[in-house]
Amino acid sequence: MNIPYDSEFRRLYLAYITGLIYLGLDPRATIEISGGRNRLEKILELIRSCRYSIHDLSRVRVDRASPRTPRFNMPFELGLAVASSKLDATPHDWFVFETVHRRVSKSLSDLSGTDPNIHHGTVEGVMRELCNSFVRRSHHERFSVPQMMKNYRAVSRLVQDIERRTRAGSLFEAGAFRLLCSAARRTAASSQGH
Amino acid sequence: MAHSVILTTPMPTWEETVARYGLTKAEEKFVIELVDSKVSRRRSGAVNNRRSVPEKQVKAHVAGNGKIAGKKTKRRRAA
Repeated sequence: MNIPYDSEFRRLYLAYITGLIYLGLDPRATIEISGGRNRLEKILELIRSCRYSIHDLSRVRVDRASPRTPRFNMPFELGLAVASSKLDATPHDWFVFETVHRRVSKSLSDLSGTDPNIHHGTVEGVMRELCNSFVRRSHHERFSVPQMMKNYRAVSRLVQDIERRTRAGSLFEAGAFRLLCSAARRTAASSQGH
Repeated sequence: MAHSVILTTPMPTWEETVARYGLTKAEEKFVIELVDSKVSRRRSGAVNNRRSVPEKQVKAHVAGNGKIAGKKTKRRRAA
């Protein structure tokens, strides 16, 4: 997951985690990487170790904090993923997620010819686009957005306890991420009758 | 890219999840208890059942007399 880490994005962050886990995928994020001089190499390693990557380019605006700058991390990491998919022997598929229709064609015109997945900044939109990107069938039917929304609401009820337990300032920390993913996995398993 | 990929890898087991996130015994217990108490019990109906209307009130409502079932009137008590 290549997504912005800010409080405004918290609901969608939770949506990505619960949605991907519900589909049986294993979300990885740079939150898991400890700081240090080799951060860039670790990010590249992380991308290479993943079969798929999702790049949310919702944050293309200039932020409020001084000095006011746009955030380049997401497009930069998308570039790394595209390079990895072209140059590495191991297969890698990348997906671009966005909030606004046709904005990518302006903000990143190099991607013209590829259709981004537009989620409109909603949890349901993220679930819908994940279902459009990844198909998994249960014994009788395809996994559906309503099922994923139920799962999202269930996991949302666990967030406060996880934050209290990890004493995390936010959910965008390694400890909270680990517990959140494992709780989401257990919740998904309970709803899928495993 | 915008295309669909079909996932065929098996869903991870709980043991694999514990190993993947390197959960300690205490963390594993915390997650199991948290999900069981806030998700699994709710889904099974155990939490909602506690909110059901007591039987006596249902009877009074069905009778339509506004009285709690089994309560004697003054007249019956006097007799």
